[in-house]
Amino acid sequence: MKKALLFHAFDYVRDDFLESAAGSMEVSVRENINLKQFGIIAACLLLAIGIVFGAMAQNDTPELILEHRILEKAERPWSVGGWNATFHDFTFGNIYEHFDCGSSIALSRWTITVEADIAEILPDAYTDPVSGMPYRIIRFYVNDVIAGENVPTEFYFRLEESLSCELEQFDRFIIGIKQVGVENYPMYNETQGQFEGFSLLFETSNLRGAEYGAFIAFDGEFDHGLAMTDALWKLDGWYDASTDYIGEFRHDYAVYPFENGDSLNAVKSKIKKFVRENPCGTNMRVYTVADFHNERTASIFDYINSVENGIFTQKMYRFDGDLYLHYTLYINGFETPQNIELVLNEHGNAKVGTNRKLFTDEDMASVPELAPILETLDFDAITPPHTENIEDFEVYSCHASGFYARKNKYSEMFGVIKIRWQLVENNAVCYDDLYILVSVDGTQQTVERDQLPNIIGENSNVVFREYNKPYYTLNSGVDD
Amino acid sequence: MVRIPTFSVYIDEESSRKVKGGSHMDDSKIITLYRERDERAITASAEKYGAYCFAIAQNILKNSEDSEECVNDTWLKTWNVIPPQMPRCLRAFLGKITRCLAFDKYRATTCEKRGGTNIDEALDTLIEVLPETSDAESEYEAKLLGEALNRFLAELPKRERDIFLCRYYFLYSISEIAKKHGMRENYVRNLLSRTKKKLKTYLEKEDFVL
Repeated sequence: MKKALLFHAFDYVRDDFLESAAGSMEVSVRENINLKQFGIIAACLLLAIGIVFGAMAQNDTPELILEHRILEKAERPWSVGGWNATFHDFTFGNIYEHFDCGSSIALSRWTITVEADIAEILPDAYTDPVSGMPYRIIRFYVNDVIAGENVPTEFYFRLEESLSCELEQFDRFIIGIKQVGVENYPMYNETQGQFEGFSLLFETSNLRGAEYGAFIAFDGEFDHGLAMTDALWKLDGWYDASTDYIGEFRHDYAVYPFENGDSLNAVKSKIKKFVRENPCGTNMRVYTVADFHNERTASIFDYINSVENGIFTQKMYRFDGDLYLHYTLYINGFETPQNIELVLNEHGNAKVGTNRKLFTDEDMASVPELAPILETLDFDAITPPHTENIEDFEVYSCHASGFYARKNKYSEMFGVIKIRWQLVENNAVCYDDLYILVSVDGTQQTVERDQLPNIIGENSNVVFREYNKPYYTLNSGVDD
Repeated sequence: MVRIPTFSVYIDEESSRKVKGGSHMDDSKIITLYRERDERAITASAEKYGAYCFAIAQNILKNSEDSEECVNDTWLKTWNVIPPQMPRCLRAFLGKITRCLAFDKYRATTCEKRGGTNIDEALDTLIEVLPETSDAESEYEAKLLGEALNRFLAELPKRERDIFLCRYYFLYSISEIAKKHGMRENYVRNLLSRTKKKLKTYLEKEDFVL
């Protein structure tokens, strides 16, 4: 009978196929670590310091491990005066850092392109803890790598909520992926009220231009771009239309040259050809640094970790194949110009790019308090000092902030309160500002912006916009 | 002045996904024991693959006693066929033996009347992809179909192939497959449905006739 025939036909299935299938039933999906949950925060700074270590040869690629875990973190509420913030220190095992190494001209959306299936759509709602943007998170399984190297077999992907649709209706996806941050990128789970870390989290920031091919879905044949301008897909010769639409072709707007109605294989081969002809750094490497603790960098990290009266925030970014770690000192939550930059290259060499030490621990303990001043500012009583005919203007925004400054390590330390206005007249927006220097003994004096470089040195918080000059008009979409 | 503690990092290797591995005897050594007619071959096989074979039998028979009996028969049959057979992949080899024994037992006992077993649920849905054929069940026809299956499976992405075989060879339930692969049941169901359609199209395209 047919059932028996079918049953016995499977006896002839290849052993390697059976081995693979048997193996797939033996590896369990790891369960979430059950950790204590933390409450919702009002404002936060995320301090995520990952230390990269391990000495591996460049060609020795270890397994890329997919993880999704609740992040164990220490929550440090910080409240001074009327200013509240919560610092979140995430601790996580961080053996490898993974990121795509695009060239400097294009941190390209298409440098890693995969054909993928949905393994799982996480049911909860997520937001990016920095931008607040809502996302869905999907676990994709990679069926084929169209462009790129050392690509993981699975990855998490965040899809903007506004672009979500019923993804289950589609067979296959072709996605140009870019890693979000580095390993264990934290996303806020709105449903559960907790932070969760995702290793190997990707996105394609070209989704708004998904008609350009960054995220396409197949149902038998190429037919859907998940794009806001869906009609573009249906055009004959849409590739030319898309290229015209974005004007001069730019590497960071990848336009894949395929046609509506193309088969999956046709799309894949066209993308491969396109990437070959437009090389842009396709490697996704495991980035490890040998000799990380060389004499110079080890002392830097010792210093960073030893500082008691301040804290360093870290920014990590790639440029031209190198990894930059940029540390900025914050005292009492206010930025200082003290920064340290380490440059780590793929060959395992680490060097100190910048080491601008301006504040000792004793200095940090004696800087003037800024928060109480900010808390008691009476904005209604302060008039923008440089705007002519101020009575004709309306206040569009008023923003007060503080920072610490020092010209060099021998000069006087100051706290600086900066108030900045956007003022509107007939929809035209002008800027005005006011700076208050606060000395160590608490004395305050208002200073003109032009005087500041002589007193506190060059500082990126001091912005030299012209007074009484309209910079933009409202509703033009230009943002400050 | 508020003292702000510094950040610390720890390494948590336990939370990495673990790949199953064993500390059992190497397959080649087990096969050598069979060849040398050393009965430790059976102990070693049972230690290493007993659970695996039991799971295969249990998926078909849904009866622990019958399944255990099948597994024991597997060692006996293996003892009798090695040598002269020298399997390249011992696990697959043992699994096939267990599977056949379990199926024979399934047909021989009252299992068929029970219905609703994994084998019924799975194969009843897959049968529809087969072309019209005589009801004759010959080894030759099974081999032909098996070879066509291999060609079809070779074209599938790995994960799809794994799930297909977990369902129709190993006869795991959809919920078991979904749980092990970290997927929703609905997704597994849809995936299998699409794969079956592809198989049907494939067999039709190949003009597959039995």
